[in-house]
Amino acid sequence: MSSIKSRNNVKLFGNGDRTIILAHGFGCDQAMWRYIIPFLEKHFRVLVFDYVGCGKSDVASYDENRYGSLSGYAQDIIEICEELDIEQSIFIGHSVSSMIGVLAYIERPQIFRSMIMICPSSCYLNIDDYSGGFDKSELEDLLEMLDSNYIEWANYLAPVVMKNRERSHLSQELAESFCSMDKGITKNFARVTFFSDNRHDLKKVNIPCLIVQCAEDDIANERVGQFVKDNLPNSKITYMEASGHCPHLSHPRETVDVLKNELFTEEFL
Amino acid sequence: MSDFDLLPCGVIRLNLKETIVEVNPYILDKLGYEFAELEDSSINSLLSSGSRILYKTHFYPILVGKKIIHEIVLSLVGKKGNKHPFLFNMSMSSSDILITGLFLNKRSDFESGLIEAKNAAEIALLKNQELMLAHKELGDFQKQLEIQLREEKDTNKDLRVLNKMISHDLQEPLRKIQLFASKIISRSNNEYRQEIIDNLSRIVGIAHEGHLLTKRLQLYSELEYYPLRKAHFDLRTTIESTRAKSVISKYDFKFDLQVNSVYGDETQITLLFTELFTLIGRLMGPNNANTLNIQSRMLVMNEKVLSTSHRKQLRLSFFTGYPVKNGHAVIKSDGGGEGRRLLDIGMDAAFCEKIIVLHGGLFNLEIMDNKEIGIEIVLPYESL
Repeated sequence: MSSIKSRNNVKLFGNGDRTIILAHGFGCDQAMWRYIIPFLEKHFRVLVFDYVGCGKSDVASYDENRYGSLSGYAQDIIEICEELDIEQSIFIGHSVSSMIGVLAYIERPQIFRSMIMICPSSCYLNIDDYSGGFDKSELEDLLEMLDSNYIEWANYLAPVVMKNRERSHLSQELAESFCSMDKGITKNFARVTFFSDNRHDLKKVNIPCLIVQCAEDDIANERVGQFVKDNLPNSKITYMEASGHCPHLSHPRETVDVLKNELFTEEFL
Repeated sequence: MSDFDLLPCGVIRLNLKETIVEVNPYILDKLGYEFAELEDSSINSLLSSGSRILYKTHFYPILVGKKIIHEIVLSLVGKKGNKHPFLFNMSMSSSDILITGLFLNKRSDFESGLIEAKNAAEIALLKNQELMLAHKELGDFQKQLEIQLREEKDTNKDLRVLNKMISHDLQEPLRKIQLFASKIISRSNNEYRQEIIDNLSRIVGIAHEGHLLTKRLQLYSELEYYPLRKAHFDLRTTIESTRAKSVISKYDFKFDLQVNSVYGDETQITLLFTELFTLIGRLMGPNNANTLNIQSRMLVMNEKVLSTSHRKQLRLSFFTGYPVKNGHAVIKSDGGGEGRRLLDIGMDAAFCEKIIVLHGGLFNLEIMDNKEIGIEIVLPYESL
């Protein structure tokens, strides 16, 4: 297995002509896509991966400087695409990965031909007239909460390091290490996720984009989703009945339906 | 009454849409709510902002993936807005989500202290690692420096050999020219014209001067590698003994020495005074009866402006009466002077400066037209 594939725990499913890249959000890993993959792999080549520092990625490759901004995470995507010669793929990003995808596209436009953003936010902070949903103190509360869950983080290394990285499919083992994360890395990822402001980057993306907006999403509310839609030049928005922030986990069937509606249109393919 | 009402721990039951179906009194009492106020509202309404994000982005996916999750800490927010840390266990079935747990108010302060201590220990560990790294880098730098120093020493050694060879190779032909010309003169027996003899005598004189100059140049360049053997010695005795052999022995020496002890290499300091007196004699004229005023003072430097590591310094001043034979120059060995360079003044001045600089001191020379010579020597002072 080559270094980038191993570093980012890249997995490929299906044999379609077109590649779909599924990028997980903050707080979890590629296992988030487990209910969606069976549908997608029938029609596409599906690539899932873990950002460095998440899931079963190579934690030793984590570099505080590189991952001190979302650009470092975007670099992960670019390097994966380069290694696997991926161009003109369909990018599906959840939550913060929507903006990571935006940054990757701005730097290397040829890697994506269209993007689907599930529960995106270009800025989580309330800044002047813009309402991102959170005040700074509320986001600092998140960092405190991360500290309080030290037992959770202490359990991280054991399952991740000791398990065999080569095992490929969704297994009991995967469930055991589901969304395992290192505390320090998670705190840094939380900082760059929730304190980043990518509002000005949206205008630089001119490929077709679909925003998938959930009902009652407390992390990325409707106004935030609408802002993303209004500022992406070639975009549309679809509203799900599913509530929450992780529809691909909580409402996989509806999510698949939404994807079905878009993925087979000429615009996206 | 629900089965949960009497339990000494908190219970919240949610449907799969995460809306509240049941909350037991343990939680209601603590948060100050009536059940009716919470019924059918989202669990989010009970969580603090940070807890909400962490629950939605991390713990909820785990719950869906593993169906059960143990010992997570999130903050529940009371009716009055106050936060209460709550230790959760959560399980998910096909029909509902069950939360059980305990408030950690009493423990949370203690745990906060532990977390703080743990964070401090982690930071200290990190700093220690950084220090170790810096120490290693320092070690590497030191090794590099040592290598460079060794290389420099080798280069210096080569230069020294080269310098010696050049000086020696120059001296030898000059000596031979001198010898050969002298022999021709002595064996001429008036066979040559006086003009030839005069020219040969001139050649002897020039070769002699040249020979002396190259010898002095060699000595000057060798000063660089001279290992100083510092000790305390008597200033006035050294000056007097040097004076006796100098060209200005007839000068009237007036001493005003507040400090009479010098710390340095006695041989080199003696050479310094020899060269200094040669310089003065050359500039003033050796037979021109004159006065040489010699002062020594202790300087206590302000540490903030001190450029050397020595707080105390010895300042020696030599100044003559007037008139100076020729020239005008202000020379400072720290490079701040104007006018001619010390080597332009003469080898003697260059010797003085070199010896003083080797001792970590400063040398200032001022020659004023038709006035006087002022020389100032500053040396690091070591008390006896």
